Amino acid sequence: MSEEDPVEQEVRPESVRAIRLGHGANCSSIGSVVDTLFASAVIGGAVLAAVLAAMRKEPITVVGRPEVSQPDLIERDANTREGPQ
Amino acid sequence: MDVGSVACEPSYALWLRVMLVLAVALFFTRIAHAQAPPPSFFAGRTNDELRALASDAHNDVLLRRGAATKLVMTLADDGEFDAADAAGQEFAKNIDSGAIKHAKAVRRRSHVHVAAMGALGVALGIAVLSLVAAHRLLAGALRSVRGIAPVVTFFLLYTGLVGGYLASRYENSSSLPFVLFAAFMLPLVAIFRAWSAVGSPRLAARTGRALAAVASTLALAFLVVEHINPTFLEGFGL
Repeated sequence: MSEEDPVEQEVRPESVRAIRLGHGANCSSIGSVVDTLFASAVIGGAVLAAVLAAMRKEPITVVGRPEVSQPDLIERDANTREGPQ
Repeated sequence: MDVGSVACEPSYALWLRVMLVLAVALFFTRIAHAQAPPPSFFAGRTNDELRALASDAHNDVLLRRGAATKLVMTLADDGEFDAADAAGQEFAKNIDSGAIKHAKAVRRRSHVHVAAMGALGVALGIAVLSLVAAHRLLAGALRSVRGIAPVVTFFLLYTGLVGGYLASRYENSSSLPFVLFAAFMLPLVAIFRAWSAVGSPRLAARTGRALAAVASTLALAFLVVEHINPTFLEGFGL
């Protein structure tokens, strides 16, 4: 066994053809993991945005008891049509 | 043993001749003495200088290849795609194939960039115009946005923080794409929810809004990653 660093023995500068820069450099599997993670986040966001954009209008909800009942309204409407005599 | 060694003698002679011919051929084609220059050798050189280096037949083959490769990649990065293609064809016999792929990818990326800007602009423009036209309903639309706030906040925090944390755990990865994507998605989703609150409830209109939302989200993701580091897009062929 030599006393030199085994890594230096194995990889010599003239043996290096290319060095990749960026995420997961020189290791395609790590790059793929991060790419997949980001792609899944984007797809999830797209689904969320699509669902929200396709939602219907807010339904109108009447809260509380109406002050005038339906029969009273009909009667008032009839009186209005007859007009002041 | 003797029989075996005698049988191999013609084979040795043949290989010696082949090696001799190869050595002479390599010597005359100057490949034997060629050595690839370091990237710093090409740094700062103009395109004309790179073209001259790549064209000079007196330079060794690796120097010419490096110059041609650098020329094509520089032209592509500067947006001169036609010039990059022309240079790629001119030096096709002695160029790194990665440079041609890079030029094609950058051209594709520029097309996707235009499409993304268009999709985002059109979708947001229509949404904002709809909101302005229905300004009397804005109070109800704001109530609708508030109604979905918890779900959206949870999703975007999960995407930005958890996704960013997982990405940052890898060696040279960055959490920035996740965080920025989540940050820009928040107003986008709010606008689309407000649009759906004031927009038409018909099926065609809802489908159109959904498609616009999907296109805008994909466009936003592309623009974020392109802005942070375009090399992140290599995994997607861009």
